[in-house]
This record gives sequence, C-alpha cells and structure tokens, in this order.
Amino acid sequence: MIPFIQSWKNGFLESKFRGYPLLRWTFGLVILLLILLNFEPVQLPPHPSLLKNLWTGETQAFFFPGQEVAFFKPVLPSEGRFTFLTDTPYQTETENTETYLRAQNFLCPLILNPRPHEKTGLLYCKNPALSEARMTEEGYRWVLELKEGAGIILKKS
Amino acid sequence: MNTLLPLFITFIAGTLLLRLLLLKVALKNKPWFILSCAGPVGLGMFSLLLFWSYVLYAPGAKGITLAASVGVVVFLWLWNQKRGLNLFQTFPRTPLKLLYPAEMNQPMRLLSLCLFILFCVSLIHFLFYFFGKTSWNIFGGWDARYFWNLKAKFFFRDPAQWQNMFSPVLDWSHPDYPLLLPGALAWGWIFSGKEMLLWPVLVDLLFILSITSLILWYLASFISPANAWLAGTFVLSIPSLRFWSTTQYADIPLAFFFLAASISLLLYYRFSQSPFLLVAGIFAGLSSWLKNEGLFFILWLYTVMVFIGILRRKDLKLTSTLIPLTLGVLVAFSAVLFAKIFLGVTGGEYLGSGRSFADYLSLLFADFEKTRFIALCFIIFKTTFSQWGGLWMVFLAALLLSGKKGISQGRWILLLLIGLIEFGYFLVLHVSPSEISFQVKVSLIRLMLHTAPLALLLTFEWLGPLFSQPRRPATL
Repeated sequence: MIPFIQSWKNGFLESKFRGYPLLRWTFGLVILLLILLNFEPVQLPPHPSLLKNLWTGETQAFFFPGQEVAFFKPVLPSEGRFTFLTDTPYQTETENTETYLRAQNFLCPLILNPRPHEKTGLLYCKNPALSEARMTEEGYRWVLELKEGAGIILKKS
Repeated sequence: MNTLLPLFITFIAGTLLLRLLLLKVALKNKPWFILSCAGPVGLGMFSLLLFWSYVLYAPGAKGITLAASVGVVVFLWLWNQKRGLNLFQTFPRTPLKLLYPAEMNQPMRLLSLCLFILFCVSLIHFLFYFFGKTSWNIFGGWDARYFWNLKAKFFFRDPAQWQNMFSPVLDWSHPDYPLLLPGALAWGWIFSGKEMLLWPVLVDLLFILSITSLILWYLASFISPANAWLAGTFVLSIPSLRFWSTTQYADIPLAFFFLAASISLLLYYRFSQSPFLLVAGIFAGLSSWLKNEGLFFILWLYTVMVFIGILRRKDLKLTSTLIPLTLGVLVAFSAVLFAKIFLGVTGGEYLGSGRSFADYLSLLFADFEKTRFIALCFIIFKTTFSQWGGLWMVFLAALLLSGKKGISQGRWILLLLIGLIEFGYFLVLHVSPSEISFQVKVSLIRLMLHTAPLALLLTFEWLGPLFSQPRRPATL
C-alpha cells in the first residue's frame, strides 16, 4: 500500500488552512460577496402560456425558424437536393445567409444548396423584380410561382 | 407525463449502469454520485444506441433504437437484480445527515443550514431565470439551431436519409462534429413520438444541474457540507454558466464530462480502485462523442496517467490501469472513429483540412504577435467580472495561497488537467482557419466554460472546510 493513501484514509482531507479559521472565514465571506455581486433580477420571466405550450407539446405559440418558407413544403418531394436562391448571392449579406440557414432547418431532410449548382431550385425573393434579376443572373427559369417573388425554378439547359 | 418520460428513462438507465460499474467500489455517499452522473451517462448511452442503429439499418432505425433502449434497460435491471441491487436503495436514506453532520457543534450546524437555505433560494432563482430565458428563446442559439438541432432533425425526420447531414453542401453545419447531442435529442423525440420543443431544454437543464450536483456531492463528502452549499450557490450565480446553460450549446455538457472524468481519475488516484478508471474512461470517451475538444481531453487524461504511472511505478499494473481506462474510452470513441472515417469526412477545420504538418508548425510558432494577442485575450477574458463573477480570480488567489499543499493528495491531477486543457485551447487558437479576433470573439468564453466547474471545485478544496471540525476518519 502506498503510504500517502494510508495517511489519507486515516485522517481528514488535508488542508493548508486547517489551522487558520480567520482565513477560511474570510474566504467564505468573499464568496458570499461575489454571489451578492453576481445577483441580477430575472429580466425575462417565464410566460405562463409559453410554459403551458411547452409542457403540453403544443407549438402554436412559437414561430419556427424558417417557417416563412413553409409554403414550399406541399409541392416538394420528401427527398432530394435543391438550389436555394435569395435576394443576393450566398455569403454576401448576413440577413440572406440566415434566410438560407433557416430554410434548410425548416425543410430538412431535403438538402438546400445555396450555390446555383442544382438543376431544380427554390427561389425566395422579396419582390418580383429581384426574383427576375436573380434568375437571369444564375440561369434559371420559373416552373411554378407560388407567391410574388418565390417559387420553384429550373436551370436553363 | 409524456414530456418527462424520456428524462425518467435516461435516469433509470444511467443509474442502473453506474450501479453495476461501481458495484465493488466503496465510496462516500455513492448514491448521490451515481444520481449526479446518471442523466448524462444515460443520454450518452442512448445516443450511442441510436447511432449504431442508424448505421446498422437506417430505414428501420427508429424501431431498432426504441427496442434496443427498452432491451438495455430491462437487461440492466435484471443484472442489477441478479447482483442483489435494488434500484430504490440508490436513493440516499439519510440526506439530513448531510445537513446536520454529527461532528459539528450547534452554531456551526445552524450556519450550515443557513447556507443550505441560501442554496435552495439560488436554485429556485436559477430555475426561474432558466425557464424564462429558454421559453422566450426555445430554439436556442446559433450553434443549436444550425448544427446540433439540425443534425437531430436529420436523425428524426427521415431515418433513411440521415446521412444527408454529412453532405459537403452543408459544410457550414460542420459534418465532422460528433453526434452525442444530436443523437440524444433525436432519441428523446423518437421516444415521445414528435419533435418535442421542451426536450432540448430539459437536456440543457439536466447537464447544468448534474454539474452542480456533482460539485455538491464531492465537497459535501470530502470537505464539508457548508462548503458544498456555498459552492453550489456560487456555481448557479456565475453569469456565463447561467447564460450558456440556456443556449442548447454543447459546452456545458462537455464541462460536465470533463468534471466527472477528472473527479473519477482523482478518486482512482486516492483510493486505487480500478472501476474508477473505467468510469473515467467512459466519461472521457463520451466527451469525444460530444465535441472534438473531447479528443484532446482523452490525450490529456492519458498524459496524467503517465505521470501517475511514474509516481507509482511499483504499485501499478497494466491490467488494472490502462486496460479499464481504455475500455471505458472505447465505448464511445469507437463511434467517433467510425463517424470520422466513414461518415463526416468533409468540412473538418483541423482534421481533413488538407493542411500539412509544416503548415501547423508555422501557424504555431511563426507569429509572435498572434501568440501575444491570444495570451492577452486569455487574461482579459478570465478577469472579466461580468462573465465569471470573480471565479478565476478566486481560483488564482487560492492557488497562490495554498502553496505546496495545493498539489498534494492528488490535487495536482485536477490542476494539471485544467492547465493542459487550457494550454490545448491556447494552441488550437493559433491554428484556427478563421480570423483570430473572430475566433476569439465567438469561442473563447465557451472554451473557458469547459474548465470552470473544475476550477471552482479545486478552489473550494484548496481552501478547506469553512468551519472547524474535529478530526474524523475520512472513509470512503
């Protein structure tokens, strides 16, 4: 048996400050002070109806990320890979990049490619003028316009 | 009930497994230790079951996962029964003993009780904060939405297409990331039959409460209950721990696995019982199944084992040290290896990034300004009171005050692990493919979370019991 272990087993855990009660008390007070300084009133208390929805598993109180592209779902197959175009090319504007990420999150397990590499695509623009410009830029044409500036597109051969 | 059922099953599974693994081990307040670790271990186990079910036969993976989960719980239950272990014996019979330790005099007991009440108040305040924050932001932060929960959706929505999550088209979602968290989330959804919004939140809560409970257990068992309640209150008051526990990121869970593995290794060192090594290995393996940082941690764990080996070369046997540790690591690490070799092979920022060894050397040593910048950021971030509430400053003060004895009785293990983990991150920041100021901004505070519970535990251990107590045998 290792002597060190033996000594530990026969005694209390050794501590540098065992003989210094004042120091230990000071430490305790410092921690208490830090806890007090860290204290912040809760800025965002839980909303009872949100909590109720969460508990019962209902979802109507929540706006899902990517819910704005829900209108695509009825016309899409259950699997496949599609180009997803928005107002500007991918990674040039944070807002549109996040639109793409939200759409991928919502339409998963489909794969959305933010680059114009797929034959079929989803176009999601703010207005018809932008959608026409983006289609011309990337070489796509309408297959099915689902709402103003948004719909299914096909790569021109 | 449907909401809490997956959580309940997770606890049962973790408890049954840990009871068996620690059957021959004598440990103070063992049921409390088991309960502190049961949730994370159960989640890790089910996540692995789910992953292998998907690898085995994807179209029927949901059914296989469910059947395997129920089968494992029944099997563990029967095994527990066979060894004469009753599940309900796991729960502590005399929790009041911890509130009123026999060796304390009356005024000290009263102070200990006051600290216990303070802890209860802070726990209620934390839960109020936690559910407020999460109910208004139920989908979590960026990484949760676009990495972890997205991968969980690939698992849950169409098992036949789950490998779409590794598509190079989705390189922004890090196809090389390990899958403990997505697997655990998908497992809960499969168990409840729908994408329950509350489940990721409950998983988050489970990990932060497990960290708190593990710290409470350790300090109440080995230092003093008063220290435990004070430390528990401090944990729940640290702003960054509070905030990141609500975001559904993987950092708080990783902090739990680092803490649990380190404590298990320390217990092995102190009491020379090899089941602690097996458990430490399991925790370390699960950390690598949770985040790539866990791979580093496994390396550090073996490094510490080498030091232990050097110190105790006369007493150590290979069969009772490296074998249990490696077996434990392999439980989850085998899934990591499989995923890294056959599945998530694209999008790696470090492994598979195409950079040569010479590139890494040049990134590490060629730019002194970068090194200085990272070092400064470490100092500034650690001393930011609004993030850490003074934790790292108290840690440093305690380290300096404790002197030589700060590394005695195996405490050097925790200190060395904290140092190695932080040093590893210091190096990794040098070779990050992202611009350094961006990388520091988005990740440094989260990286520091991984060692924060360990630092807190060590601080309280260094400074010893708050109240004087008569000596008593410190049994297991």
